[in-house]
Amino acid sequence: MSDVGAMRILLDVDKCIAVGQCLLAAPKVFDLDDSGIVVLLDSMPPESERPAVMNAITRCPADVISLAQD
Amino acid sequence: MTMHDVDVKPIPIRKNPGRLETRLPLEEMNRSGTLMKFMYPNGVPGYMTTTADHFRRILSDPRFHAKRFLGEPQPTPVSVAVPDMPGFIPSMNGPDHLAVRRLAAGDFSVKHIRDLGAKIEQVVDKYLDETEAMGSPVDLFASYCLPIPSEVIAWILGVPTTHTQEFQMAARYTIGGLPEKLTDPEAPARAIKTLHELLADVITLKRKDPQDDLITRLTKATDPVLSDEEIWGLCTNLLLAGHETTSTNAAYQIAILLDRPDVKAEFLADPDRIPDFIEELLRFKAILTDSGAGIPRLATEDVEFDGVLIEKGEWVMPCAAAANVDASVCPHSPTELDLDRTPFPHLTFGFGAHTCLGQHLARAELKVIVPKIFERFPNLASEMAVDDLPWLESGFGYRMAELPVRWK
Repeated sequence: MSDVGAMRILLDVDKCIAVGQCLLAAPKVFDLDDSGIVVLLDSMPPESERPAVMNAITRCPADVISLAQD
Repeated sequence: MTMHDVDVKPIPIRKNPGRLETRLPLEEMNRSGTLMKFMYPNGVPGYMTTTADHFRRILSDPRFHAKRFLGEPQPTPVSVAVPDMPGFIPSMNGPDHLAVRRLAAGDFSVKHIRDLGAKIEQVVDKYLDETEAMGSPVDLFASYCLPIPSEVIAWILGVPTTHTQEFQMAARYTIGGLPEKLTDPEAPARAIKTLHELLADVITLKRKDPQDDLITRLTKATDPVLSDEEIWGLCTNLLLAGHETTSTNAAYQIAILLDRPDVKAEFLADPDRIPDFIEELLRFKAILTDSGAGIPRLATEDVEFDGVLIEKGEWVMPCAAAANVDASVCPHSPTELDLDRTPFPHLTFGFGAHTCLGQHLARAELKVIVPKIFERFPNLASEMAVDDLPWLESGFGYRMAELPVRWK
């Protein structure tokens, strides 16, 4: 990819326990469905979202979110 | 030397700490950085975690299984045992746990709870009126803190108002307990039987007359389909988990504010910051684990963990209160209450697949229950020094027995 260093977010939705910390940490990137399960709004958010995304990764208690290692 | 090489010492619960002090020497334990094997007050040994890292790792490790009321170390001499119930998610593990948990998760998700603000205010106002009608002085724990969470849960489940009072009483006699019953280890099991009879009635009603509520949704679940017994187990869990904990936290937070006029003034001065203040109060006093309890996990195989061999069949007790004073999550004066602290993700609600399902509801309740009592009664004062407040130290947990206050 030419977009060197861009964030690409991966979700392991099967592990999601619907605690919603991701939505609280990064509302421009994550949302929840009616069952409270994570939904990705933007799989390649702008760099300005990196702190919020990292916060979401730290706060998720079920290790659902990761960044692709390109 | 690993911990299993030494004699197992009793967990060092302070007998009569000042009530605003921690019951365990958390800071000292945290500095040790190790798992500590202790004999718990009910005579069962377990490894207590003392750091945030160990807390997170144990609770994320599928080799350690969640089990509740099934012979684990407990913080009081009398073990509380309740029958193993299908659908009781604190004792379920793996994909089965996740599937059942997800059936209830939507009703407690942060988005759904945001819509419940008006309902919570309505319930809080009702108990403010009742408390005022009882007159000063009054036991604020019984009149206000205790009934609100169970009434809100009853409403979310869809328990008809005709059954709410009975539902709340059954809740009190389970782990919520009443002082005269707490020395009776059979009382919780009897109360749970009552609760199940009541829930059986409610399930029958919902099957005949479906409503927009959680029990109706559970009766219609397809992935997986739940038996009535599983719905009882799940609803019992939701009631117990959200009842005693939120009540005690509310009472405790009100007691702190009554004891510390400086903190109260800051707390009430800026309504927009109350959610952050509540987070710091939750961090400062992780009631459940500061009591000497933990979040019990059973080793399903031998596990080598940071130089400690935890043998199959041994218990590990992740302690949120110790994790919350870890410098990696709370760098400055962690045993002090500091409302100005930059909010950080404390571990009071646990970690891993069993992380508190009702945490957003608890927050939504606390941020109304705590400030509203001071709004209604600006002269609210404790009838006794906060250090003398009676706490229950028998039965399942460790909570305020009463919170006598006056406002005249």
